Amino acid sequence: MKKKCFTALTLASLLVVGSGFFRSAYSYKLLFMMPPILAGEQQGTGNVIDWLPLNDTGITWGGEYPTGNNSGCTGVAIDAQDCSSGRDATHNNDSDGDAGFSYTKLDSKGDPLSDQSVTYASTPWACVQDNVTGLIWEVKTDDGGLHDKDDTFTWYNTNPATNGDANGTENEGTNCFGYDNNTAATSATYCNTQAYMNRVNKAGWCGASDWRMPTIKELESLVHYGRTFPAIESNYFPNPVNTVNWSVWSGSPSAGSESTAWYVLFSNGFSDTQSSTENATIHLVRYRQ
Amino acid sequence: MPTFFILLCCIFSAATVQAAQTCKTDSIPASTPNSQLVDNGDGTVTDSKTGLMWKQCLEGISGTLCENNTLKKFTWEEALQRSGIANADNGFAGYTDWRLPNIRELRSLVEEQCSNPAINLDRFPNTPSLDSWSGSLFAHPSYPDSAWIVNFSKGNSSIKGRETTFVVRLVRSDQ
Repeated sequence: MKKKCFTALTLASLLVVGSGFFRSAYSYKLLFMMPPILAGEQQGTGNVIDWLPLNDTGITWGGEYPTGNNSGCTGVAIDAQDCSSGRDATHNNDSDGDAGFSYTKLDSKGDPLSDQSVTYASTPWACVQDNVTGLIWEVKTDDGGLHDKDDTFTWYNTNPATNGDANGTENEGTNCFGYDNNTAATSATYCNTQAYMNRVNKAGWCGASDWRMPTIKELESLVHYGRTFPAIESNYFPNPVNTVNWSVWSGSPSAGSESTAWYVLFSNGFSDTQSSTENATIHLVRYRQ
Repeated sequence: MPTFFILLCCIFSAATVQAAQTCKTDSIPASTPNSQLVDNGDGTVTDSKTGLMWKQCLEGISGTLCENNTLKKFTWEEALQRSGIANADNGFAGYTDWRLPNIRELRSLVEEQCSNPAINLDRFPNTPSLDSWSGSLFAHPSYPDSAWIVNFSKGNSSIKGRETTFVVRLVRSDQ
């Protein structure tokens, strides 16, 4: 209902202000479009946000044709290259994340760290807010606990409205915190994406219990295309798993085949699909309230 | 939208332009529904989720169903230069700030519930299942001849050599 109301507002603003539509719509969204996200909801259900400003890429240099990259924003037809436009050019401030990225470190209660310049080693943070997209991300730990960076999961989603006609793989992985395969009653401990999301929401994290699997486009918003191994702002997302082959699941199933889903290879920033039986890591997400 | 997709698929397969698109409309939420992509009626489409304005047709083709003229393919250098051509002589649809999309912008066009092609054919008619250039370079020093593309058959991103020729869709930031 809220969504319909918002759509009406958007259309109204389009009619009234014409080309000024986006600034107006953005204000409306800030005022009215804070979608309620239900705890325990299955991944990918109707809580995908309607307004997702794109991050810039992080690419601040130009290239030549047919080969060669430069250190600065120079090169062939440079005005049309990536480095010439977007936040990397207009908001290049490294104090809140490399180039055009803007992040805020959050503590275990979900509050911003008072000193944002601390290192993870001295003052570990639990979550990161992306100030451009409005998404809040789970940060992995290296403590062998629920959020450990090395835990991997198969892709599993029992919601027929969002699973691409196949539930995926419930219990073929054993590499996660608390896994117990002894009785049928322990499916909540299984190493799959849905079970993990439910465990985190049951325990709470950063003061919230409305964590969900990101869509593939949300997950891709974390890719720093200006870097590889890993292709992420590692000053804010520490504890990379395995920089040579680090794949992270999204909640988005593949449209082209069943029992496959989208992942991002954070080694180099590629996005692609793979079988639900594959073991990959997870960065849960929620929307800023 | 499902009915429309089916209709479009019929039209296109009849015209043997491309194989039929398939969409899982009941089991995957649309990522670029018609309600999000506003047809401006002048050959441009505005994405209300990202704030980007796109040319409705790939470079080379035109018409309300992008059915006229011939689809062109470009090297990465030619793709970069294409925006300058589009912006000359009063530009396109009254805008002179068209540019090659970066990889994240290009990926934002992918319709996650469809494949072959993975795009909203209602708003971007006659889009083939081909690789499309972005203006983004690949960062790893072992690949100094590569740049990012989106494969619109499946919707995935990848890198290709800059001398390869692919199709181009131009974008502008709608401020």
